[in-house]
Amino acid sequence: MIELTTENPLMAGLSTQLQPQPCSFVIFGGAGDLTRRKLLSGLYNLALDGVLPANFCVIGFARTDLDDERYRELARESVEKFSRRPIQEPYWSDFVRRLHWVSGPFDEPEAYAALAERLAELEPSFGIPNNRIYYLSIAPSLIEISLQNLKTANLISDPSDSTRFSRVIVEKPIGHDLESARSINATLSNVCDESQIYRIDHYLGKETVQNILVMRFANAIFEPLWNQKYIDHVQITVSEEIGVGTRGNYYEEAGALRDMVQNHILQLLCLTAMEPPWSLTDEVVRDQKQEVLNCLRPIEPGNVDSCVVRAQYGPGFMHGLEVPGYRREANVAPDSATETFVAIKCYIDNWRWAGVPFYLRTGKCMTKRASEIAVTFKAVPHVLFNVDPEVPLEPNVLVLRIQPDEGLSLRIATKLPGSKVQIYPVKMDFSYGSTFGDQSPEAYERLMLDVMAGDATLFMRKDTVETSWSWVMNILDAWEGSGARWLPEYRAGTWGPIEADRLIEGDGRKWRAL
Amino acid sequence: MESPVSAPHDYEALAAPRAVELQNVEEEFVRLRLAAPCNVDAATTDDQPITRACMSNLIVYCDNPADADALAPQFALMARRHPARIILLVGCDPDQSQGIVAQVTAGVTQLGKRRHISSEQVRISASADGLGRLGSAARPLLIGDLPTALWWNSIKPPPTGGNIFQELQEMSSSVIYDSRGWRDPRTGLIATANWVLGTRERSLVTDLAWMRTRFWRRLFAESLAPHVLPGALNQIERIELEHGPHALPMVWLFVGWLAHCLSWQPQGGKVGSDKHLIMNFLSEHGPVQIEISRDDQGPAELRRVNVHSRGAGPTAASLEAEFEALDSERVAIRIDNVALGGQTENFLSAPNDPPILLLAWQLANRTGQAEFRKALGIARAMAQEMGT
Repeated sequence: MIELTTENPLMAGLSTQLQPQPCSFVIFGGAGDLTRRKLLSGLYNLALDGVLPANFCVIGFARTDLDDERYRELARESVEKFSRRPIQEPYWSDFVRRLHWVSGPFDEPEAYAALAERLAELEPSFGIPNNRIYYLSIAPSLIEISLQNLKTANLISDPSDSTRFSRVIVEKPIGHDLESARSINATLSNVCDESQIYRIDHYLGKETVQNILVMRFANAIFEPLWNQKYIDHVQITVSEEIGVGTRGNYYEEAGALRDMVQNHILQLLCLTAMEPPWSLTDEVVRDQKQEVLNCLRPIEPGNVDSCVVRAQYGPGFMHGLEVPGYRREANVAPDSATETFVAIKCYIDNWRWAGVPFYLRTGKCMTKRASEIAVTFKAVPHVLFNVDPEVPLEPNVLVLRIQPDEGLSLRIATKLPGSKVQIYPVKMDFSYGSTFGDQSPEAYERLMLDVMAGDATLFMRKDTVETSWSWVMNILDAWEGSGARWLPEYRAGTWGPIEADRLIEGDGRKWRAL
Repeated sequence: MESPVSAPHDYEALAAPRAVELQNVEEEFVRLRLAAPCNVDAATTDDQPITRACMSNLIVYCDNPADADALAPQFALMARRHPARIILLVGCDPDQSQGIVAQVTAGVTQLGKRRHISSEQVRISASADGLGRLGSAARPLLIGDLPTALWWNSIKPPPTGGNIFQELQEMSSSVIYDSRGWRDPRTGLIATANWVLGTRERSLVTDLAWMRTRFWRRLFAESLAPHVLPGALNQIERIELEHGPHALPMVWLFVGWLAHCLSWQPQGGKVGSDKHLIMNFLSEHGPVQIEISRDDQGPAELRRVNVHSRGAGPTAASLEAEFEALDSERVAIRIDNVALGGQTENFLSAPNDPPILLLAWQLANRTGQAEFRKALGIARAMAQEMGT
């Protein structure tokens, strides 16, 4: 009598690595832009590194009329164009034989019957025990019908079934506002258990973002200072050089607050401000992040004007080239009131962060592309070296650079060489690139591997999405209520409007020039 | 199956190795740093200082100049993954009549638009008389507050390395050796296992041969996983392994790992010929026979593993699985079982890095190697059986 057990005794020695499980990886929108740019090249790079599960296959699924061979050609073109490493034979031929295609519209049940049939045919030959990952790289409007059809076709397994799994990856944006986010979440919940849902935010897959927790909780010198006693304020900046380009249609509906703050910036805020989790399991880490959002002080309608600045880029110059203003971009209304820049002052009302302002800013067509978290420490007492109020010492600043040139720097005061005591600020710098060398995996590679391993730490939970939206809605509602038809402008290629400077300078502080 | 080693195109030596007095080594490094050309930012035409990257001290011990000469060019390959200060110690240099001499060089790696000094190398050669002084020459060159690893790149197993090994081990936080190429693998493995298992539980000691089994272990674990092929693992009745020259310790470690994970008890074995061994184990479900055979041609690797299982899958049908190393860093997996609809064939990447890259990987791995120790314990038992 054969003992049927799902515990794998051979995995014990491999416990320091992620353990991706055998699975079929079904990409809805299998020939779409994201798939071609990121997913196929990401999967290929994972194969090249030898970290994909041994029992694995990919099925591209969409209306597009393709077959396996043509899909493999499309995949080759995509990987040649977008992969961080070139195609190498014979790895490519090993990889490509795992790629398959099923044609069909997402709204027709027959297409799902064909998908189920193909899975049933392929999985035994690849040794895959009915484990499925569905990557919904499709428009939000198609999510509901796709999930319903998956369920009807019996392609979503019971979450309590330990012999197989179904996982669904959903791309941002999760909704356009709180109501639509709740609606998408409700749709997801109707079909899947929360444990089966992976809401992806590729920002969280970046090495430096993951390093925030390591930096905070693996170093004894930071955590004792990480509170309102020692920290004066925190600045989180996500600036982009580029304008809206060809994404005018999307951006007109979104704006900087929806596009960046509701997801990326609030997630960075959570990682910066969260309490130490008692374990690194996904639920514990996500609980702690959620606690930060729970404590984020709502910006009441009456305070929006004093705590939030929005603006649009006007004409200007980037690297010596003329850039049109936002309203002159393609697919943008000439009288658009969509913000391309937003700056926010907010507070986290808990014991650790009471009274410490967090300044958040993001925008397009800014001076340079940069994402960072800058923690400014309080000044030393005004005695000894800091006695002259006319020339105060620069405070210590710890900067976590997320992109580009990922790394960490600390500004400290030192004595200039010479007989006189002259203090000068210097920067201690750690750079990922120049320390560790080599290319890091792309964020999508890491995140896809996490889903295969069933680790949801870097994915957003339902309550997190909704709490983020809830906080942002106060601002959006106030803006809508104001009926403003004109927004402050900032010259393209600058750090934002003067109103943003006033927001922070009123508190006796300054935005950092990155 | 191992990748050929060539210097990466983005690495450049700052200067040819230059002989200096031992006490002037640090000065020479400073001179090289100052002489390194600045990075020029094309956008601003500003000069930006070249940075120095260093994650570890690495002490490398080679038995003779020829081994060191073969190794030195490969450090460029390591620098990209693990920038380090490398102290290459060469014992018993017949051309060395003056006790000890040092040669210094450094190299830069281009990463994106920036370059950084990624490798500082000092080669210290000793005459037979000077061997005992190598440790004292290396010690002051270690950079404080960085982990120090010893790569014992010698054909002598570490515990038989004498005083020089003892001294270098004491100044290192981890020891890496390679059992491939040992003249007497059986005696070497027993002696090394006695030493490793006598060190503290969390000591960082690794055999590169163990690292070479890592893809085999993973592919084996995944392909025969209970949720893929229920029963396949605990119904194994025979495994045949084929390896190239000098790879017997690697095979013993692989079998040791398997036996440990599946709770098999060694039951003795016999030497069929100098190329053929049989080991017997007892599992909870019955006897398991392991046949190991050597092919004297080709790479020094594990080449093939054939698994015969009494039953697997819901139908409990017999299972034959073959794992075969292909020519270029790939493994073919062929499984024949009714539950899988007959025979399946799968090809997977199993990057087979050269020793220098395995080393770079291991330098960054600072966790304990509990599984290695357990596998080594069983490998020792197997090696002991072979001698009786």
